[in-house]
Amino acid sequence: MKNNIRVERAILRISQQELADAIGVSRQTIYAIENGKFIPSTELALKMSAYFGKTVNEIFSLD
Amino acid sequence: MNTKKKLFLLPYRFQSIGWIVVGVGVLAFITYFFLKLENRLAVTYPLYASLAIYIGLFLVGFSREKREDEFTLHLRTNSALTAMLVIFAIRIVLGIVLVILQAKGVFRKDGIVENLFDENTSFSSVFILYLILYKVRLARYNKEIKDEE
Repeated sequence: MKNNIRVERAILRISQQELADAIGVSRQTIYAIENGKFIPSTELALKMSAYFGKTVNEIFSLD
Repeated sequence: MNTKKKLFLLPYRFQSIGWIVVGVGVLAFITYFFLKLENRLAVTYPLYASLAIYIGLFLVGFSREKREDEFTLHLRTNSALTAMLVIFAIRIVLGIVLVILQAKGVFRKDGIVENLFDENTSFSSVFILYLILYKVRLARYNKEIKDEE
């Protein structure tokens, strides 16, 4: 699964730590998701999409 | 995600306590070889030392991380499954090899195959390997994050 969290972070100019704090996870989690090493749960994907103000499909997509 | 609802774990502070208890146990084991203990104490001292190590490892393995979330839960379950598969695969392969060696008369020792499948030994090995895998994986991610900075 691909994602553009890094791009979305860059647009908002926020660090991995800031995103992690905002959605209540660790920085390792954000790092692992960004690098495709971990696929988040639906709950976390929804939290991220709400944070970026986009739909889940705009952030995550199938390879 | 709040893993508090999904997995019971001890508070984070128990992790440091666990490492201290492990340290005390290991130290007790080392001193055992230098102390000339007699009678009952010679038997009970190493038992207390190993009990301390077990309690310490339990505290380390089942305490929350600073921020416990679904990724740490994923690492925990993945490590536990890998540990279980590895230990049982090793035991099965060794068991087959020992049975063949015993059948051919190369190796003779009664009960060695049975001891290999001893439940207590299997459980401890699975738990210790789980702990090693989990902590190594977590440390690797922490290192990768630092390298990225």
